[in-house]
Amino acid sequence: MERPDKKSKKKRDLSRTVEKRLTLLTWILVLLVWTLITELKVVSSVMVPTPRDVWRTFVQILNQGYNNHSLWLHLGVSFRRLFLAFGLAVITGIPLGLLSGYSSKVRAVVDSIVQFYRPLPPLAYYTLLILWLGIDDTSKVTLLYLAALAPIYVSCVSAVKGVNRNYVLSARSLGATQQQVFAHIVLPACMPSIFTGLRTAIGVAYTTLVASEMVAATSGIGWMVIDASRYLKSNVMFVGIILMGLTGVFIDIFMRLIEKNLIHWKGQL
Amino acid sequence: MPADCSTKEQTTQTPILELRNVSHTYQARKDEIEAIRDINLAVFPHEFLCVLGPSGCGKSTILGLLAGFFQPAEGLALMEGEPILGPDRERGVVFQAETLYPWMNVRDNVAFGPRMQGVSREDCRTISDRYLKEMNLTAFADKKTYELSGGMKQRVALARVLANEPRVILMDEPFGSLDAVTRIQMQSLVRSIWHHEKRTILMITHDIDEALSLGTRLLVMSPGPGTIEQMHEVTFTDTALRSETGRVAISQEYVALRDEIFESIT
Repeated sequence: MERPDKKSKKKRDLSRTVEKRLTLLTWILVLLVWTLITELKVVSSVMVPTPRDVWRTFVQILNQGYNNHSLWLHLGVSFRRLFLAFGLAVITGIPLGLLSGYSSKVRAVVDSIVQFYRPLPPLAYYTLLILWLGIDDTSKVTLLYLAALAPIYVSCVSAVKGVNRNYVLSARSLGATQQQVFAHIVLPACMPSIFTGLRTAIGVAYTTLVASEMVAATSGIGWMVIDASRYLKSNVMFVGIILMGLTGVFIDIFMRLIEKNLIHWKGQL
Repeated sequence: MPADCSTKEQTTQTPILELRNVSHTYQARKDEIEAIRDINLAVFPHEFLCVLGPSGCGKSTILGLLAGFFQPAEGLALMEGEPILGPDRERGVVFQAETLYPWMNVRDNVAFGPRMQGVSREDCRTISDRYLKEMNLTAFADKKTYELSGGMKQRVALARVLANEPRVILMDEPFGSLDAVTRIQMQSLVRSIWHHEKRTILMITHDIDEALSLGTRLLVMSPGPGTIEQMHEVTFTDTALRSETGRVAISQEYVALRDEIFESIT
């Protein structure tokens, strides 16, 4: 009667392996179709390079770099911009969002500004940022920062508003002070939702990265793709796009891993 | 006529909790909903007071006022003669819905109150050990709260309130979502804690049998707006304390009272 519920773990694992195989199969299929249409010259190699060609280009860029910069430098420059902006957005966005969730007056001030710029296409105000901050990294980091800030802020506001009232009331009845309620109840109760916001934010910032490197950059993985497009080097573009896709996936896996280990109560609120 | 419900022992004992001529209304959109009207109620030391009534009769409003979750629109909510201004540790609350904190394990949930008061880590451990043992939860101390069954969760919630040593324990239909067997086990557990530790308990319930088998005094409410209609002093819980099975002996008197209350509620 009073036994902790146990789901059938075996069954769950089995269905997981089935789904993993389906994912793998999908990618094998994509690769197969890609190989077929390029090797059989269904489309021109300028439009779609062959997988072999893309692999060769990848190895070549890995060894010799692109435009006198090594691949690692391009990636490094991009990730420096990304993580600097993301870090700043986390440091400022979480307190701002939590405060806004708590106080309707703070919300009245901050909310309308965030809601106004949030749906704007980043390139629309990026030109302004360049005008104000110059063409070097400052404007790029600022752009990514603004892109990452909005989802973090929004998730924090809704997290605070969504905290189960009975958690707060029970803690107060157990003698917790306002500050203790915030530290021991509100903050952990908000964590799952905040973390979802962080994952969205880093995704949005990453997509904005390429846009920022389209203008006035001389390095970065996004710039590499843009530069290659000017000379119709579709093989280089493919390498860049695949690398960006893969690193994006890895970043999300990394974030989910942290989430799983840090916030075990996700889905239990 | 609403019964006067702060009679009897008033001459010999002073109440711990008191509602004096309390009326309360809720703001629901444009309408004002009158939840309770002119309630007089007192909770005396070591009694087990059950507030019984159908849903919507304002019994949860009474609990909320006594806990300090909100202030009465009219009248006074008092603890030992002083107005209740907000929730505090003197009045522990066991909620109907689950309010265990899933980011803490079972032990940390139980020790939450003492920890907030700045009790040392070792003392917190001693306190939690004691109440976990009392609730038969020792083996589950390091479990996560969401790994427990419904009955166990309510035992943790009860342990968490007991560990904080409140003057009064307020319970809002604590066993409403449990299955019949678990509910009876929980009732025996609460009865024995009330008896052996000389606790003061106010329990809100819509279950006539639960009120009759646990309470020493019953207040019967009727809805629209909520008023107290009857008061009964009962001793059925003593038969359960004496019995080996831990269950109440169903006497003719018990059945008659149950029917009377049932008639007045419906």
